[in-house]
Amino acid sequence: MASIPVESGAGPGLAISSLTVHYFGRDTPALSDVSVDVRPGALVGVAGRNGAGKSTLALAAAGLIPRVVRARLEGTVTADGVPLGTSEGVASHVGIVFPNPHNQISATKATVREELAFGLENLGVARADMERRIEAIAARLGLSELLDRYPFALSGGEQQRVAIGSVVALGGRVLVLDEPTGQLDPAGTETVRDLLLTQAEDGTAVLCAEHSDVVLATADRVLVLDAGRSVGIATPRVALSGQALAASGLEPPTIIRLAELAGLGVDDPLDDEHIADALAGAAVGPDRRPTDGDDRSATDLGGRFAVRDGALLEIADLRYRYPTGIDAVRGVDLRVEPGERVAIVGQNGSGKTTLVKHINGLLRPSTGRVSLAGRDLSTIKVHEAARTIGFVFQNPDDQLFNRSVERELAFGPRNLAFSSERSAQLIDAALSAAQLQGVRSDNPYDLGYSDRKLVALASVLAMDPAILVLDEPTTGQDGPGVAQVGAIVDGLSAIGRTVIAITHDMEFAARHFGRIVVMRQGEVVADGTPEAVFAPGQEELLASTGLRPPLAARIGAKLGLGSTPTVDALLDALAVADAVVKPD
Amino acid sequence: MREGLGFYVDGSGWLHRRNPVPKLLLLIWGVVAPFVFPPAYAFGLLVLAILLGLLAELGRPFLRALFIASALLTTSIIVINGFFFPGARDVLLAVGPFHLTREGLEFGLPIAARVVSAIALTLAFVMSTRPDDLMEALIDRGASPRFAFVVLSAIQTIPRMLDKASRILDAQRSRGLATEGRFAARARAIVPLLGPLVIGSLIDVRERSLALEARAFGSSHQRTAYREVPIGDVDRRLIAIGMLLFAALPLVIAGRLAGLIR
Repeated sequence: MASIPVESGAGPGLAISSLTVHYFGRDTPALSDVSVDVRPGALVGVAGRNGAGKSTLALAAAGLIPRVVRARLEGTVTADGVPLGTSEGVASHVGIVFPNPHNQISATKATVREELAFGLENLGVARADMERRIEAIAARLGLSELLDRYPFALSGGEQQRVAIGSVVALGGRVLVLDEPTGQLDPAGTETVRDLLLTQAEDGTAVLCAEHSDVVLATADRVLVLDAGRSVGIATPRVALSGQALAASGLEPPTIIRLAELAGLGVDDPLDDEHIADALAGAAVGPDRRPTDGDDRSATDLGGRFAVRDGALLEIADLRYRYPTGIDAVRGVDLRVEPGERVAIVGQNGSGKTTLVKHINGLLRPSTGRVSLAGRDLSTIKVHEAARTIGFVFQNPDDQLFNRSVERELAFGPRNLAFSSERSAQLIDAALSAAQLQGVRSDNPYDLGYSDRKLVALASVLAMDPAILVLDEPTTGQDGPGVAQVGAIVDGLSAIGRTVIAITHDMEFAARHFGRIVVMRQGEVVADGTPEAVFAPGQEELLASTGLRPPLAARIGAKLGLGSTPTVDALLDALAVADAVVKPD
Repeated sequence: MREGLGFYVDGSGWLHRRNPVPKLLLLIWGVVAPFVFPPAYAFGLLVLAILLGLLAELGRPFLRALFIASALLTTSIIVINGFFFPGARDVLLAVGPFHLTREGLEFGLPIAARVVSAIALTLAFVMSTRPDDLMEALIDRGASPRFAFVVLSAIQTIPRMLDKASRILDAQRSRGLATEGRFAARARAIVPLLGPLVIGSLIDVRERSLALEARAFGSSHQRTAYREVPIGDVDRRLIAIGMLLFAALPLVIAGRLAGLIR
């Protein structure tokens, strides 16, 4: 174990200096020579591809390496002047919050109030003092209404806020977060972001590893990591610019691309208003036209998969009541034509997953009817329906169990009794569609989370489905991972397959899906093209189910350009407006 | 029943207000004693156990749970012994080739009474005692907080494990795995179910242990407790009574061996 010298004079906040972390058994270090200072009151974001070292940095910053997670560590980490890493009792100086809300609940407490007390009990805080601290934290973090609820019954966003509260309650002035919004819906993401800003304003030093630009754009500074090395640290506007990210394989988030395009000053606030104002004044001619997001076009699947029409899917007056008495779906009618791309959006608990589980017969309607190519699904077994409908679950770890990626992909075709020739061909096709050829003999669990998600997706693609259902395909994915999934969606659509995806990512939905179905409390409240669903005036309806239109649509609405759900649409509208205002 | 609290039923009756430690002590005695005392005493204990559940204001849910938990077991004990007791001659009732015998009932009924009284006492205990109170009370009496943590989190995590198992099964069925029908089909589903369940649980455990570490779990500080589980004079007296009752058991055994208690 490395010894961490006490850095004399190390100030308040989090100070990481020349940090190198090398996990045992790995050839290359997870982090090399990374330095970052987070002063009290600052929110510093950490961006980078999956595997770039963000989680390792978070673990080290929280003093969990090497004391809990074994690794060789060089360099220094101090929180409020206290050296971390080897000493026990760091929990009262620095707290850490992880991506998965469920796994951070102690699972021994019946109420949030007691959950908040858990760490205080462990630190031996006197009971009277506990009560006072819990009340104060709850009031400050907006958790007061949750205090008497059962922690496992809370939504993901609420659980993350409780997780933040329960480490902040320990009194540390340094807060570290590892992708805290990765598994949350848009409303949950915003509540967590607001909480982080409040914490920073109160003088806490906050270090947050994130993919979400909702959080990154509001950071004071962003550290970009690439393959364990620091690419640089600067304001989000500079650190996440196309130029700065060029080498790291990341694309700038939409908000930065638009800010660059609009010529927004590097010191101007990154928000809708300023970007809209700047865009209104900027000339966005064809020459300044950037590509939309990334250059990845639809994955060409035509040569590898047969062109095949998806089957007509009809859902009529579907209602579903869980045995617990909860009405999860309350009268849904939906007709999906072969080859359509449909995104289903809505806040957690709005019935999206319950609805799609009827598409392959995992759930049987309480009343109503689901039919596939005219055949009533209630007469078809799930494993029979799998010949037509592929279903990819949100958590890849609920599916993967084979010792190699290739074997994992072979599981479905074998269940469907495909000939070995056809199986081999489909496995190759699926591997190349997901760009996993390089890891075909690897154990899926040696891959990172986003690659495991792609393996799960490929394992269903290898079954050659006419209809593909995806539940949250982009959660936990970095930018290039999202683009990869998008390219597969586009590619499948090009060869006639139907794709239905549940997603919290409005930008992903607007960009890759021709139809958006909005759900709220078990009902469909909007159904149409991205232009129609994200049109100006729809904000209130979307907000009622925890959603916001994508950034491009919001900016377009502010500028009175009509409905512009994608960056391309926004730029087109701007170009037209320009031409009208300034004819050549 | 409240989420996360196992079988606990909200209430404020006499039994609810007792400290979990004397209750646990008496529960253990109540489960052991019927097997120590002569068979006839088992009926007395059964009546006491059911009265206890009713006095504890557990009412209908208690009786329903008792019925569900004991009906099948009791019926099979009585049927098997009543009809098939080896060497029994005194036939009370003949149903076709089957004869209900007095010897069989004399043997079977006390066994059934012992089992049902043990179930009744256990139910009265778990329905009137919050698991977190039990653990806090045990820690207060010197049990290890780590042990308490493991037991408690297991109680809260079981429903989530079942959820996970059903999600995994859904995922694999969606990949064409047949799980219905013949035994062979069901057997084939075991690896695709257990694989993700075990690996997923290990991933969860790792994440959870890091999160616990961040909340100072296992720190060397003397732990304090947020939940106060009061122990009153009645509870102390009950503990003393429990001790005496346990001390009496060897005497009962000696008495039975000596032929003084029948």
